[in-house]
Amino acid sequence: MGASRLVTKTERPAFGRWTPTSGRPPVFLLVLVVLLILLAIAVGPAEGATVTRYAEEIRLERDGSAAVTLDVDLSGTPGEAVRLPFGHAKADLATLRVAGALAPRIETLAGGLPVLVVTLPPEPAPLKVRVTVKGLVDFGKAKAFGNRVFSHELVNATTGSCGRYEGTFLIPEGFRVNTIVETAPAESENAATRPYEVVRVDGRDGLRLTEPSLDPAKRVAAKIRFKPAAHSPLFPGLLLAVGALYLYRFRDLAGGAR
Amino acid sequence: MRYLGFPGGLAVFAAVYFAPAPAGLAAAGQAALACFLLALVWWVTEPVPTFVTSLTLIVLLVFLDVRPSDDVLGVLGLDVIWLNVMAFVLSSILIKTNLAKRLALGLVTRWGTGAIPTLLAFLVLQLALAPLIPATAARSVITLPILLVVAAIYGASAETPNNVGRNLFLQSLLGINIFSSGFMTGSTANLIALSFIFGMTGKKVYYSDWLFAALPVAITAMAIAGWIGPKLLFRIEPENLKPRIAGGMETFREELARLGPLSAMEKKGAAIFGVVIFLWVTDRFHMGWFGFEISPVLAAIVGGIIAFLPRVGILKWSEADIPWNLMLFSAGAYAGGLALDSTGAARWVIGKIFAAANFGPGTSFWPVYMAVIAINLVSHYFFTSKTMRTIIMIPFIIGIAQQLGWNPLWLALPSAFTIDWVIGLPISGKPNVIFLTTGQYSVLDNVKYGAVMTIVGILLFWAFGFTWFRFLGVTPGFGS
Repeated sequence: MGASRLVTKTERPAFGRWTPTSGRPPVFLLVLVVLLILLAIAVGPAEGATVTRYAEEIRLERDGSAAVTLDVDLSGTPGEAVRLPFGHAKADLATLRVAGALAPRIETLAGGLPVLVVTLPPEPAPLKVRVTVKGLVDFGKAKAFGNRVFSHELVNATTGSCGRYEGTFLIPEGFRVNTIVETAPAESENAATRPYEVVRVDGRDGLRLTEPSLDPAKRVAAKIRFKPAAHSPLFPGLLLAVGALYLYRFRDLAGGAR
Repeated sequence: MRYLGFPGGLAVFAAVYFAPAPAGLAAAGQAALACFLLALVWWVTEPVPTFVTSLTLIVLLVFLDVRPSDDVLGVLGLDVIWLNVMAFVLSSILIKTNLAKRLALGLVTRWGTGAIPTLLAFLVLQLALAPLIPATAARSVITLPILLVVAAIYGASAETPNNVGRNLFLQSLLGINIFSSGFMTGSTANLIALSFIFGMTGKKVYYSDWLFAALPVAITAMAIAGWIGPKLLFRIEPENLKPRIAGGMETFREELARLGPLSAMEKKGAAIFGVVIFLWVTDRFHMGWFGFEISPVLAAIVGGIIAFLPRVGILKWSEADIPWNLMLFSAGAYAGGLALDSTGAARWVIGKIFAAANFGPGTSFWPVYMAVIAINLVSHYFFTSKTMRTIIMIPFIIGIAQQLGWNPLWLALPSAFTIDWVIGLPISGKPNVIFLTTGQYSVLDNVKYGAVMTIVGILLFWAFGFTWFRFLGVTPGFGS
């Protein structure tokens, strides 16, 4: 049935019913495609800004507050309002300082997730946000071994990808990261690299977490336990005493005697 | 050494634990490293029994906030400990039924004109088993009962260890690990290394490529090990060169004849052991047959269940001779090793070593090759898991090769050949843990033989890199 029609295409296609196998397309169709492409090129950049990098640094202080700095590589049309993920619901907005964008404000979405809204300036510039967050860690409430817990999470509650995410979480001087309790993305048993590393920046210990692509709805998180770097002064004395006691109690073993 | 070992361990601990905090290492990692080194000094010098050191390590890991107590104590439930327990259950089957005695007598009367040919026979056995059973722990369990009986024939036991026993067990241990490196399927870690090589470079390595390149290294290494052990490290006493029994070899032949045909108990024992070996050998088909894979330890437990079944089985619990003190040693040792892994201390040490090597642009290939091989072979001292070591080392090495603009295979494939060389410490691999629990040799014996063979390995891989690997195209010409 119709086999000969498929092989011998002699008739010209009907107006507007062109298929890739039906010969040369009508001129009006080519013009339409070219017009659509031109329109798309003209409209594209204005339809949404692009974020290629989202870096977040949290510097904890001994009073439990933290200085938060966001560095975002962002491009878009001047005057355009851009929404960015913002993982600091407790931020003191009176301290909010923004460079490289205008009219910053925090909006809270229906699910309770905050987003930072900024307007792009006439001249493109790297976006830098500074804000203070109070009461992030309760330093008065030390757990076993003097540990304190820091945890942070950020959900990309916007509709666009934020590109590469890099979070650096620095604890106060005089403290050390003890264990990494949880990270998202999590460490994979079969992956060659870990999503996090223990770092030291400006004399502060901390954790750096990376996510290659912070896509919409993706969550990054870290939970670390840290404690005072100083050891108990009793400990070296105890070791010395135990060693000396052994040498005295087992002095008969000296010289290879058993 | 025993007298100074105790304060020596404390001094090493203090030097690491109280050292200024290094960048990039968490406090738990530094504490894990300090605890592990303390335990290592004590295991080697034995100022206290090895299991007491392990118990101390377990307590220190918790008291110094390295890992939560649930994680540390949970090590006693790891598959390697279960396998250790079941290894002794399965050994008890073969010993109680006289099957181990029959196999050992057969081996000794056929090969055993003396201790040296017997050692050689076990090396040949390990070479034959390596391509058949990828799980090194399973290979250890198979040979363990025969080794115990043969050692006894030469007068070696846990109570009265001698150099025949040391050579028998340590050479078998080396054979199990090093022969695994000769075959692509010799261990799971080999396959993981190859998947990294393929995934990161797109270069495929075939079974025969691996075999032709790596097996000659393994065989040469074991030939050297076979000489170094009895001739240099643990010289066999002249009175132990021949089996210790009045009447000599003739007595063994008579003993073997007296055993007569296989008894019903022996057949039952052979059937139970056969089921376990069958499951070990056919592991790659389990998914197709059962829809899941039966791990070596679960296969051994199945064997144990059958052996203990009333009326069906052949063992009572009191007849299973399980050295619990050595199980505790293994558990503590594994807890220490896992702490190094989980706190990132092992990764940090390796990173520091590579950073110190400072490979920059313009470096010629051969110094880098020599350094990478040496680091690879020595790195096994910091890990209890070959898989973890592979995951950390191989991508590192591929990265170095790519950064320097070389074919990544030149460094990555010889490095992959070294992954199974886990010979230095009793916790370096599962066979090491299983064999140490026989009490036929000490931690120090293992450390001595392991260290010498690690150096031999480095020299061999250098020599093969310059010659045989170049001939095969695994390493480049001297112009590189």
